Amino acid sequence: MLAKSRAEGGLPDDQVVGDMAAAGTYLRSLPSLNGKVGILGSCSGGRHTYLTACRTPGVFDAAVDCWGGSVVQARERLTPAQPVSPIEYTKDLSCPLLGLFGEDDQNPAPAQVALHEQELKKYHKQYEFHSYKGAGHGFFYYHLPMYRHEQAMDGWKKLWAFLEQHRDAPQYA
Amino acid sequence: MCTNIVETAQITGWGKGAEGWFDLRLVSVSFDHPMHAPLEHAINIDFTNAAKGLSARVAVELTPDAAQELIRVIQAALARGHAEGVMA
Repeated sequence: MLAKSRAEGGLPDDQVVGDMAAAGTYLRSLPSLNGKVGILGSCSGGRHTYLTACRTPGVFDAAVDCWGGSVVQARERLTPAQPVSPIEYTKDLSCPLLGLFGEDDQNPAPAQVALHEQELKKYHKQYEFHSYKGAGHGFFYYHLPMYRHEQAMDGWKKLWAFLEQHRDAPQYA
Repeated sequence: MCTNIVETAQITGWGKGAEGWFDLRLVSVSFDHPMHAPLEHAINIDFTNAAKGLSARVAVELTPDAAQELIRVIQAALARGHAEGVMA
């Protein structure tokens, strides 16, 4: 599937958002649910998380963007599958957001993370961002050279704390 | 990072996959996160035939240096073949 998807220029954003919305809606229908649904992703999944959290009001109660690249997507990098930069949807973000980033990452680079944060502040969104020194992209990936133990341990601690905090919080509008 | 760097070409060829030989129709070369190689980025080459399903795939992941070497030896073999009158 990965090979096919890559050859086709990646999954269309509309398809991703549709699938994630359906998954979130399905989770909400389960009697075992505590009433809260979160969405989390890393790398392109971080971008998809942010995109989905902005475009599916009322479906998710918390979103975690782990080093999502191309949230601030340059015009020349837009494609038919990704026609709108996710940052353009920021005003519609409807849940608290946690962002975890490495300061040595190139996508998103620190300047792009700063632009992302600027946009969140502009629309008075509830968020917390953490950028780690000595870490680049994918610093949670323990099986790859990008793994950074201390930063990953702290990142995971913040991630669970964020989800705990918003598990019982009223839905953010 | 997901680079979204990918180049594709329609090709004629044959590859040996998990279920034996099959006709190749497309080669996709990405410079992006590999699936297996312990690298942040690799040259990921996929030879596929969509008409035969997702399993009709021969996958290779190379370091950039290895990819450059592959280019060199392919070009060298072609040049020698042309020089020596080898016909397809």
